[in-house]
Amino acid sequence: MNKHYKGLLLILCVILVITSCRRSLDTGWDTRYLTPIVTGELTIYDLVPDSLTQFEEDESVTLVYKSELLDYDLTQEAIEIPDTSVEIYVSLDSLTLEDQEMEVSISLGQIAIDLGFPIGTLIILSNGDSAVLDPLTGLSTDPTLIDATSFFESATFSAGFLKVSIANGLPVDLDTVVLKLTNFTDGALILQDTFFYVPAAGVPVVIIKDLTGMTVEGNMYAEILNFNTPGSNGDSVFIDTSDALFIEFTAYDMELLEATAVFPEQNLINSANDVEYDMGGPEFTLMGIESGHVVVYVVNSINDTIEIVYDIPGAIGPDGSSVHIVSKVAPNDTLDEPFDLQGYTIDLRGSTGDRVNTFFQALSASINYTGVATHITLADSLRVIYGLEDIVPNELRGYLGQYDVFVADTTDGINVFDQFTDGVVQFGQINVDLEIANGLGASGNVIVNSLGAMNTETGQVVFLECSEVIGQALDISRAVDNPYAPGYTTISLNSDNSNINDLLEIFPDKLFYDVVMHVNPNGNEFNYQDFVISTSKLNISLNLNMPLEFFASNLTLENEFPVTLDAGSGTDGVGNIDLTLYADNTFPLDATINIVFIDEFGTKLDSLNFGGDKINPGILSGDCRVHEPATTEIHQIVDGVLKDAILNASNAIATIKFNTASIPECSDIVKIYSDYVMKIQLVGDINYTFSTADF
Amino acid sequence: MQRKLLCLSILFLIIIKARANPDSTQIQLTPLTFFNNGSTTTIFGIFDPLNAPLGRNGITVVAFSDLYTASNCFSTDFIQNFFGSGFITEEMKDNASEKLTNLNTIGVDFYNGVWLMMASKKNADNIFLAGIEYNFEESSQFTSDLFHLVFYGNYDYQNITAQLTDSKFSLTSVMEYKVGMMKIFDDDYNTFKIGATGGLVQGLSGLDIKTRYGTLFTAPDGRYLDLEYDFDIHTSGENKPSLTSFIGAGFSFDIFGKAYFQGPEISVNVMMNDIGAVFWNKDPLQYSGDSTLHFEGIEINNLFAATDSAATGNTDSLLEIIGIQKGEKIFSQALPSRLNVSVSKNIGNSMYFTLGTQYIFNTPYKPLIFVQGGKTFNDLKLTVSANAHVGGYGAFNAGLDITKRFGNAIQIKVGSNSLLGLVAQEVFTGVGAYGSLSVMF
Repeated sequence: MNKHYKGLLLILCVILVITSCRRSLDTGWDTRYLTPIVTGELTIYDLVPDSLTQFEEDESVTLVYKSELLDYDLTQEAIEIPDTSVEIYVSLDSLTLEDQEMEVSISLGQIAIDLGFPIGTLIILSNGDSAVLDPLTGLSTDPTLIDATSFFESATFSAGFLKVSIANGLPVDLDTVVLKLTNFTDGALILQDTFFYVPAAGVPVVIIKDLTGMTVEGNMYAEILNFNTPGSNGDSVFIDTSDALFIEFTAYDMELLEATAVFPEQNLINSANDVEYDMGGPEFTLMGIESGHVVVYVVNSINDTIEIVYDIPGAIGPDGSSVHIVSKVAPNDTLDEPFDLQGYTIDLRGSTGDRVNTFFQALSASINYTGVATHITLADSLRVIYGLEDIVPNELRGYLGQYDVFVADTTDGINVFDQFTDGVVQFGQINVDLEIANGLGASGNVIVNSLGAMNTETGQVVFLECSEVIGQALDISRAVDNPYAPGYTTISLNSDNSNINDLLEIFPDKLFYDVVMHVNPNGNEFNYQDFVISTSKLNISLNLNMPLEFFASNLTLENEFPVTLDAGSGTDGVGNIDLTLYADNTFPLDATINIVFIDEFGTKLDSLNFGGDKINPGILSGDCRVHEPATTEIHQIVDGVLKDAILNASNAIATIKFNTASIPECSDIVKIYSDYVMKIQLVGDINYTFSTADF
Repeated sequence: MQRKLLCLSILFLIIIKARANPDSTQIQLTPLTFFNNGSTTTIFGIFDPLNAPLGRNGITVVAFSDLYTASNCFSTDFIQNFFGSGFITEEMKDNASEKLTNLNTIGVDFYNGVWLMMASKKNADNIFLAGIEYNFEESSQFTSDLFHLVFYGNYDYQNITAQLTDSKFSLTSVMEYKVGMMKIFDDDYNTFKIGATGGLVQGLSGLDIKTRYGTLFTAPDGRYLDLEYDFDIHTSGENKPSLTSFIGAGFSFDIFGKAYFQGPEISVNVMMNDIGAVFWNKDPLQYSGDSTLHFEGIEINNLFAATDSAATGNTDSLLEIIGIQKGEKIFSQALPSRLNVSVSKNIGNSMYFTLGTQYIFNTPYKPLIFVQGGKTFNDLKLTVSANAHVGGYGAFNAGLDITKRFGNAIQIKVGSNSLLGLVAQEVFTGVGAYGSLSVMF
């Protein structure tokens, strides 16, 4: 091998060896550290929420707590104002046209003119004289315009009749009178018929023509195509050229398929009525509106503008004006404009002023004269829905009616004792007020069928025993107005007249009740002076006022919290720990601590309890108050199984049990003062094996 | 490790037994270029361009490694266990404790590299230098109380205030890529060498801890701790060191010179290495604190509302409790610059005596004074020397080294400047070893 390459190879080997020598990082050594771990204090605020505590002049603590049992909103729960909307539907086929008559006359003079020379001339020259008229045949008249356009321009009838009556005012009889009636524009034949004999000055001769399916124009031509006369039979008759042949047209029972006409102003709907609410008992004379609206919904498929006018004269708004809605609905258009009634007051005494639950309303729907011809068909219609909807009152006056309110429920109990999970406690004097606040302007009484407390964890249930309350009809004051104030009725419960102590000493987490309220048990004794407003409620509550003094035996506080001390948090090197608990305690309670460590499945791993040693209670002085703290020092060795339990635990359950410690000079029921505190400090004497891996 | 050494040994045997091609060029050696009288600028195994042999063709490749660790209090067995995954016993701690002074030191220097020396074809007195080095330096200055707190704990310090002021710790781990020149000239009688290299520093990891002021009082029974502190910690961050990334960058220079006075046969060597700094700019972290802390335990306002932070080991919460501020701040770290000065006197044709000194700037290194004496056995192409020193990170120590030439192309040097720490581990507080392989072309 070339020596140069040998050298390079050796260099590479040396480098390889050197760089592969790595320093290990698992060096360790033992140490011992003394350090405080946690510190804290337990005060009265940790036992009961500060919002429930009240401090007296002597610094003693009183628990004040209000538990609401019932909060019944009468307007929401018992009173419902139904919707009052009404629907009207108007269509062309429901329209009926009035019978119409028109008369056309053809005078003798006009006939003479049409006859011409010599007969016509003779007739004219004979005017005012008598003359003999010879028989004539084949006579006719020129078309005569009949103008019915004031009624319609054209109309197609689905039904109807035209009666043609000819009255002969001429001095001679007529026969074979052929009458022809045609439309002016398209010349469509309406009628062509023969009157065979029309006597002079006799009864009119009538022909009836069925108009079904016929389209008739407003302008028509009437023409006598032919008429004959037998003459005067040689007799002289008085000739008056003003004598005439009278043709009367009468249209009746007409129903239209369609029509084109200049409609005059006319109401399609004209409705006014009292609307009465069925309240099922209450008789209201006035209603204030919290929310709700007038609904005026119009679908106009008529080819003309419709004007809608809706009035509720008894509904007065904040500005003093009544409900007056005027809207126009364009042809083939829809109107949907709710009118907000918030803030309005409605007089519910109706149009006559002596009714109840009733309001007056008026609606009209009209076509205004426009001078423009409008085409209307059978399909055209007008649909109107109007009324009051979604009415939520904020005030009702009158007579609330006579009814019962049954309420039974279970509520969350007095959470003052939420943190206590076990133990026996005996309280001193407890005062609980059962307070009934009646927000209704109506008389009534309340019967408490049952009232009780339960502890769902222990299963204990205690019913209130109080002969003054349970099962008794308790008259309640009615609310007053101007200014508004509920009527309050208070019933005191204490250890003398009830077993209220027993209810609280089970640390209830639920309260249950069964209550009946009778409204107006004596009827309308206040003559429609009842009222209810939006804030009117029936409220029943328990007001607790309790000096914080008690006897306790193993009164237990318990709390669970997560523990996530693991190897990753540098606890691998922790060896044995001598835990010392120092306590300075002014509570006249001794305490034993037990912390149970559990895994994620809830399995107990081990517990830390300082050997069962307790924290010493503060010693009561002659005035039954603790002035100097009692000190405690207790130890616990944490090693082996316990240490593993702490490191492997997912949660820990910490429990403190308290026992009151009185002195012979003082009652077993000790009073708690606001300055009482239990200061706790945990110090660890920790054997720790350091490792360079920690760095 | 053993396997690798075995492989190396086998390979070494193969290499030395392999015979050169008889047609290979014979190298004509001159005293200056062939074989230095054995003296070196320093008793450490770092690259010494002033005394490195140059091959006949003017090319030499030098690979070296130098490990040195010492302390004024930690014995060798303590250091070995600390760095070598051992357990530090109470006896070791007590042994170190007896040697403690007010301020104590410990340091670890680990230098490795490969250098190329190439004389110019036109002028052999101009020598081109290029090299790659990996340098690891770790040094600490600490009070006796800090030692006690770390290695024993504070249990024995109840009612005592532990002093921590002026404790410091520094660590730099860098790669250096350098090039340079060295020139040889003479005045027809005396010979001089002068050179310089410079280059890029690639920072791998850095740590700098300075405690300007610190005390810890432990109350009796551990009821409270009072901590006063004013310190800064700068780290290069949590990025994993990698040769392919630059979490820090900087510059480094070496300057060196040698004068050989032929008359008195005295050589004066001066070498200053690693003048420079590294700038940590990729997510560096800074922790600082200047405050006092009275600690009676983690406060729990409601004992029955203990939260996660009270029941878990959360380092961030701990930092908040102590009042340490954390931030990201680019910082620069001066490299531990090494100054070596030595005077060497030839005695006869084969012996020499050297007196020198070394100092490492920016570390708690005390000036180190060394002496070295050696003899060269020309027929064996072997130089043996002995050295002794006092100062540095530790106290007195001594060592030996052997330089052996194999043929004309290979020179191996192995030795130690702190053999006593290997021989009497409980007594002496330093250990070191170095080696180099020079291949000459």
